[in-house]
Amino acid sequence: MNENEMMSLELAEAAEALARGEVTSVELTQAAIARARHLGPKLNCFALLDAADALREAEKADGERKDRKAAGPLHGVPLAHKDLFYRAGKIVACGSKIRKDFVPETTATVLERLSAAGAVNVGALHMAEFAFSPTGFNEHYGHARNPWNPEHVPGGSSSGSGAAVAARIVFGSLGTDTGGSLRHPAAMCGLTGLKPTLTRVSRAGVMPLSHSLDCVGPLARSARDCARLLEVIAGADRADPTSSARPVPHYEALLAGGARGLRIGVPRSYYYEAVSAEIKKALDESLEALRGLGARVAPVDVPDMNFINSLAHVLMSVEAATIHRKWLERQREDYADQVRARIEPGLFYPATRYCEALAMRATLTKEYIDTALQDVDVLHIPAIPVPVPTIEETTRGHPTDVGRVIGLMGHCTRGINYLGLPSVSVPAGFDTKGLPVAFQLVGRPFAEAKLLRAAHAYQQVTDWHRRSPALASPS
Amino acid sequence: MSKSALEPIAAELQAVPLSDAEVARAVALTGPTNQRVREVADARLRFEDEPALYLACLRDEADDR
Repeated sequence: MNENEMMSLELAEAAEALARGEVTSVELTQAAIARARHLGPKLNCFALLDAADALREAEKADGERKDRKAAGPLHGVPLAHKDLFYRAGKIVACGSKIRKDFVPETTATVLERLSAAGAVNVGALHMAEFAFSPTGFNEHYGHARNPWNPEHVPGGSSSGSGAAVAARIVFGSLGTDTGGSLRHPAAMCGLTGLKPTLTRVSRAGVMPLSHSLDCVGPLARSARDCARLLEVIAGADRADPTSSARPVPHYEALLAGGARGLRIGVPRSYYYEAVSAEIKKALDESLEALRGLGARVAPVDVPDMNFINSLAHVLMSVEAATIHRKWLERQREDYADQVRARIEPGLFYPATRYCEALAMRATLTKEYIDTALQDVDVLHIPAIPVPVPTIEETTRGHPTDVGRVIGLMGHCTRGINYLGLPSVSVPAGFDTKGLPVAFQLVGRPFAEAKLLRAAHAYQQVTDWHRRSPALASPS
Repeated sequence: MSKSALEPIAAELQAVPLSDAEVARAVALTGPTNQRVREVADARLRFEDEPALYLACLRDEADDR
């Protein structure tokens, strides 16, 4: 296999090729490092390339394979992750100036689980400062770029994850999602991204943005890849008392069920209010493909999502302000204006408002499920309602215009975090400028297996997720 | 705008070095949401509602179908 052939494989296919001896972990890792060196600067997607450690891990993986030691589901597969997962002894800057020298003493549970499954870590990936941007904006380290067109944003805040996986530098990545930060880069870079149910995946050793909303999840090329990664990282963790003790299903084995009989709800209001014509067309075509697989589609109602978004804003800004208050007092100038502006409102909500936002959560989540998901298995909604914007559209011009564009990025995602529901972003085509389009499937709590099964069925009859940007396949 | 106009905010937060313009911006950003959440809480929040019920809700409403 040449480099392009190797790096065109999906994550699960690469793991299978390794198991069959068709390729070695050292070969894959060398290719990943070469691509990181070549494409990384063009896309500004790496925070730290850890070539020496990666090659050491790859040699170890190949040695274990040779010695016929038990191999995990990610044995020898090179990955890289958003730069907010703590790794003992390594700088984890969280996209910030404030933590540019921060070296944690512990390692995030999810990284330990990936290592135990055999994954090779190539480095840490670019992210928005402290995860505060849906586009990939970072004043300190520069804007990450979209591999489909570097003039466009890659989505954020897991911006490097989206760019690096889409550019075929690594086979998958972990990110976090507080208001859409996994689903935005997945949608904008043509990848599959899963925000699990709140509590499904441990957050121990992960720089928080908002304790009530943060989720850790996988970003990869296909639903099958996401299933494999989720199965490794999900499950109870003593280091995170909020993590669910619910057993972890065999997500990958459950993909085979298909979409026949799946009941899909399409909301009558809110989600489609801001959708552009070309995005709507792609979404309609994806519904047709799902119908063709035997799914039944029906209109459904949803509660007042604008109000739910307001509650999400209260939780996010108050919790972020609590985390950042001391730094805001002492190192205020070390935050980008755009980031500080999102944290500071949290200083001015009364405690009663914050408690009200938390207290209404159970009622509103149940109401959402009873209204929107009562008679269907999943909701089908846009991931982002408009074409992927350019970097210029989200950074220059009148603040009102910039704010409107950035606000639209989270229109269909942020309320899902308040409700804590699982959601997967699935590639569904390309807009007229050649940038990816995506839909989301949203389910009841812990419906990850169902969401991934539906996405996998769709990906068996479409090839959007297999297409790669031109720069990832140099001739 | 004086910070004392932001009734009520904790004394420790009065020390956060924000200019009047930034305080005004924060008030503009939080004001409508503040009012909206308050109105709905007045109308809907019950004495029995408390945050711990949320995790139970996730368990009770789990997808087992």
